[in-house]
Amino acid sequence: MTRSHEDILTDLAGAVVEMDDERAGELAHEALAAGLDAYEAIQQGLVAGMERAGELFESQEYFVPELLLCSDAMGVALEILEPHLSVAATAGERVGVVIGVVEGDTHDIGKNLVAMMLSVAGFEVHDLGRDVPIAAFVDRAVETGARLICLSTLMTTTLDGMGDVVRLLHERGLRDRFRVLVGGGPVTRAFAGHIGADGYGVNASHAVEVARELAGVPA
Amino acid sequence: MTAPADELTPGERVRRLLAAEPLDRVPVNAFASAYTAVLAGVSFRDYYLEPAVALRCQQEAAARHGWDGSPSYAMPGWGTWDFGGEIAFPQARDGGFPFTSRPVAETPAEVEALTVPDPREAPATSRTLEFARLAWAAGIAPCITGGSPLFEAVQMIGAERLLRWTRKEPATVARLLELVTDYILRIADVFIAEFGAGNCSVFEAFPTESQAVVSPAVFERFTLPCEVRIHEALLARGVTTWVIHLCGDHRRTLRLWRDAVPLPERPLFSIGAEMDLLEVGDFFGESCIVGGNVPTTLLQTGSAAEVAAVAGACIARGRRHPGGYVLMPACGLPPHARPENVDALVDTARLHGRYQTVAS
Repeated sequence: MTRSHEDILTDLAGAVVEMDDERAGELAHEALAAGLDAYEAIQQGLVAGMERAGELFESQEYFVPELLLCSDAMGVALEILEPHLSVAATAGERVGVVIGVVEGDTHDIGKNLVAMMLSVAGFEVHDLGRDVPIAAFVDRAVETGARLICLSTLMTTTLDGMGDVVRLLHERGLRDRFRVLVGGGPVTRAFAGHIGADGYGVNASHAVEVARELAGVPA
Repeated sequence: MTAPADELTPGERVRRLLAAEPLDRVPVNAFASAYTAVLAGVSFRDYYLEPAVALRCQQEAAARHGWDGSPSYAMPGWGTWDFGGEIAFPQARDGGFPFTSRPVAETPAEVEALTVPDPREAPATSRTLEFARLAWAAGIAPCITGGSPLFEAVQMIGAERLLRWTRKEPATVARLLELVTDYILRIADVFIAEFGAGNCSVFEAFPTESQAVVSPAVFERFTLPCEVRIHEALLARGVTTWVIHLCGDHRRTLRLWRDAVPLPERPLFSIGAEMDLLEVGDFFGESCIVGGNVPTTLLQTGSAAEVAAVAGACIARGRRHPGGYVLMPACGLPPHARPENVDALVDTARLHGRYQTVAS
């Protein structure tokens, strides 16, 4: 018996929250077989589940391992659903974000979480990875027409690289074109102000909130 | 305002602190490693690969700033290197801390195949041992690493893999931590045999266990059994001087530290800026010493006046703990901290950290 679309969406969200990648894959197939629109399944199932996971992270019921596994479950279902997205569903304008870990640092777990959650929140994410040269952030932002540059580091040794990105934007006369968001272990709100960044994310889900504010994207 | 001269030497001050005897002022432990290399104009690579260079840097920085902590040395990623993985130094800018360039294991089967290295032959710990010998010859007590095993495991197999495995492959994580714990105890045995238990101290740090990263349940399931084992073993061997750095937010696991982990008589809990000095001190009671918690980023980017203000506030709060207080950064001193900010820590302790009872 075919289940209601609403039940399938609820279960998709639940599979993400429960970190059940196998179940998420099964439900993605079920959604398509039941005639659910892939975009609706992604938005009202997977994204809803990931948003709930973000809330649980905020309230310290979930931690980094749980967020990673929620993201894995979402990824399994996304791979099944994405090929079925209609052209209309993917044609809308998405705000571009360039993100990476600054040069000299290879710790990327926080950056990966922020990139995934920005993607879920509807941003077009250009992930440059880790140990990214300063100029690459600016070059890629120009090339892609992104509006946000997100910088992450876990090390105090590489904090200066964040300020260097802001400085380079000034030097190239591009400062007004991009909003710069910073985060990571040693980064503080005061430091963000000190280097002239536009925003500071305390953690992954907060970073998405700030990104939305900076880009003028409603939640 | 000129800071008054100290009445005790750093060594005397630390000895009195551990013995719960009166002090002239609040001690300062700058929690410095590669900062001393940057100060001396030495590369991270030379500092970490050449223990004699590291000792010279540490001694010069201690003399320059007049802080109270003893020189110490530990290679970041020591578990990775010693268990057969590879580490590398960043090429960009002016270098940086070594990082894991090839993990020790990528599958549960590879973890199962690991064996505990010989500390005397292992590339990282043989250097730690060399540093300890050189320091000992200069009259400086050796320091044994106590982990944490979970943090070392993160370096050894990669953070994302390890964190996923806490749920997907818990038996493998437990096995890996057991191996690291075995190795820590083997290293400790080498130190104790060579220098004597009474001369060794233990330093252990818990960044991965912060509640910004993993749940209290992960601490209880994985870290706690290792710490109980390490503490029981080292206390039984006669090691009594302990610095436990609770990096970040550990408020939800303090109870386990107090009630389930065997502690020495006078542990020093060094805490991050996310926790309150007095609350942590009250929680562990009068026998414990608390240390912290000047924000590290401030030490790198703030002014000396800002550092002095925050350090003064830390002293005002921390010294209310009857067990004793050490002015420290909230975490390891940033390598690129401003030297004048480090001076500000020591000067503030001299100006505002004096005790009524003058040591005699």
